[in-house]
Amino acid sequence: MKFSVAQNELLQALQVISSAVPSRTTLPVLSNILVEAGDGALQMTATDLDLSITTRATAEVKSDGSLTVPAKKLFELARKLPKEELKLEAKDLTLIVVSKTGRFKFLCIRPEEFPARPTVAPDVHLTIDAKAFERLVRRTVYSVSTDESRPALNGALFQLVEGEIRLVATDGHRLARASLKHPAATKNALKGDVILPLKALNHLARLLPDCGENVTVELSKTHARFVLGSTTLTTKLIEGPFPNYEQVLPKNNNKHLVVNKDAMAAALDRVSVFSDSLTKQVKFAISKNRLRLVVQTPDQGEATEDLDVKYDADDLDIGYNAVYLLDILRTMDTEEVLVQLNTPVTAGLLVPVASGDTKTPAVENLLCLVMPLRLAG
Amino acid sequence: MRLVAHLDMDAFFASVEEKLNPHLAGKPLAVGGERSRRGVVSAANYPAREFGIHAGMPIAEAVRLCPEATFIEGDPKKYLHISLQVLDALKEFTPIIEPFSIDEAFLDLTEAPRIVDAMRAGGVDRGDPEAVLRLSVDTAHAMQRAVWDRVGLSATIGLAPNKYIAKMASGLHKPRGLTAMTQERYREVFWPRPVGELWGIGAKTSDALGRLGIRTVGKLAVFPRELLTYHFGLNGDRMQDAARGEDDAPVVPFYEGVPVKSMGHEFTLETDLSDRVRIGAHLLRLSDQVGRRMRQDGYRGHVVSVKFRDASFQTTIRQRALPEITDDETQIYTVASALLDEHWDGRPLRLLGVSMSGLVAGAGSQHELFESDAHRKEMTEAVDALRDKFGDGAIVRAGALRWDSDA
Repeated sequence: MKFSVAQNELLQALQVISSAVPSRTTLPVLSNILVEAGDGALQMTATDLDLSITTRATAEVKSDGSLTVPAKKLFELARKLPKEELKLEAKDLTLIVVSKTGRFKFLCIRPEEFPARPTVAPDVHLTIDAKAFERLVRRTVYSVSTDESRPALNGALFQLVEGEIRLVATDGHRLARASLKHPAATKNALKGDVILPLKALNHLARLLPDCGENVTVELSKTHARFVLGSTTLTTKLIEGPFPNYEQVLPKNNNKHLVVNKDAMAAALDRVSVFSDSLTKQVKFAISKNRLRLVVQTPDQGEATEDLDVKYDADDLDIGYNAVYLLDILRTMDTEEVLVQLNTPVTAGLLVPVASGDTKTPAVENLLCLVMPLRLAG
Repeated sequence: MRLVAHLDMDAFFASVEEKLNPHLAGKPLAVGGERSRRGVVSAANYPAREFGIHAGMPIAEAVRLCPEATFIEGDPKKYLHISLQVLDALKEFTPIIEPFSIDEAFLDLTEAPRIVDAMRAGGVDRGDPEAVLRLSVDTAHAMQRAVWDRVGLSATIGLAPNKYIAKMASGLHKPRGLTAMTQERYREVFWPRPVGELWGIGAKTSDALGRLGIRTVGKLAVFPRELLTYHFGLNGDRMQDAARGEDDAPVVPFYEGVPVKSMGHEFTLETDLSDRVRIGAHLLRLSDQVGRRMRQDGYRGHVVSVKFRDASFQTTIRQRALPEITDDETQIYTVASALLDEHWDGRPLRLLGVSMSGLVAGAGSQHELFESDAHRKEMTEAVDALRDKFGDGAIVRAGALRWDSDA
């Protein structure tokens, strides 16, 4: 294998894949990246066995071949080299990088030891607007559970229903469902629950902004593959079933409160200075056209904020984890939020209130659900 | 003056066994390891003691002394459950209870409402130790009754101005004894006796004292302190304080309402273990105990620690923060198990521990979105209730049983 590549081409490619290299591993070859030269292009891959990222870089290939190279060292060197043309050549089990002034030799591992890329025989093949898909991810990823005892919740459910692509995430205390109208979603061709792992979602959130206009999604029963321009991300799916979330979406939340989103977020942020650092408990005391946020924490002090809202139902006191609400409000970009409530022990719903100047296209939809806290004392 | 009680359950393990199997009552009975093994006697009832059987004696020797005695393998879970009930029965007298071992506890009664009322009614001055002790005898009887009513077992109590004298006093008359002792009385009783009778002075120390010419407690009490310090270091001071009946150690309640930094359980394995399944079963049982204790005391926490020690006594402690506070043993176990897998290289282990820190008390709990989670909480509550009623051994996780099976 022999090729030359521009320093910034190499660095960019390494920036895309390096975060997929596991920081700790029992399989030494996983600390390396697979470098392949062929068909006049350079291709590099990193994997932790669950997820792999492959990206292409422009290179002038003199002879084809492949090798696995220590990821951390190569990345570090690429960062420190000046912007110039680099010559790379494989010799036995080493890779030699030659710059204008330097010569660097990496000790490598045979490419045959690198795990083979999983073949995905897709049941479903979709093309989605990248910006819209990024919003779907960002609006759900915070709700994904990291509780290792609930593996099915350690990812987001990907659905094709009612003409929409939906991502749904929950940790058992809150739930977010973001949807996007899509012509290919009229018939559900998915086999079983498609649950995208949190790690894949985080990589997508990182890669989607720079991937061009569209993203291609291929789904099989066990794997998902995302083609993002010159980068491909392949991930194992989490085995389901995902809990039947539709069942828990409240239907009788008739007490409606409309509040300015930014005002509520800022007030919550201020009162939570006084909340318990672990429970983040805040009480909503709701009366006609008024929302009072109250935090009282023994040994910490107390805080109240009064907000003007639209509310015309019975008075209500409900406890919440302030962080849950702030997480939700951050994913909304409308001026106002509609909060639909029922009782202090049942789920509350938050939805953005569409208005003329909203930045979100009408084809997108967001529904957030949060469970109350049993107020202490 | 302070008023401290030392409560000691009479022949505790043996009495529990008699209580559970009335056929054994009145006959010689020893609790310990298996008869065939090299175990020692953990406890003997009074009829067995008449044959010379006592705690710490090899079982083989006990068998020789009294072949017709019944030997029972001890069941720590059972004893612990009863021990907790005893502590609970004592709570009505004072919250300041220090469980000293499974069958002993110290109680600080100085501010106990019953005592304060009695002193006021009797016009007794706190500065008169003899009068205070005389008047607290009723309360001590009430404590013995409370224990009897709760678990049907007898206890001996020592009453004194400090923990040390209380402990020595309770040893004087057993079983069902009640001894109140001022410092003066302590000196009258113990000064003529050999130093080996003092709590904390074993055969070796007693020999060493003998070489200095110190054979009685009284001699130890008046021996030049510098010389004791010279020969025994800090321990010399402690021994002389003991001989004089001086002790300002407070009664330290662990019990409840006291801020706690962490809650954990650890366990030394009977034999070194490298079988992951059995180790997992131990972790499950430990997690179960930690979760139960947190729920009992109203705590939740968000940092799980796992501790393991290998055969060469190298100890590893690893911890991880959870996304949210919890008192759920399944979650504790899952994380403890993952931590073990990440940091254990498969070497045989001799000790395992699980603990939770980052604790909060009485925090508002999160309502569950999914019915299955709410059901799981209800099930945990039901299991807790069963255990409160019938003991911790009444219902156990099937996974936790794998540690004593061969499967």
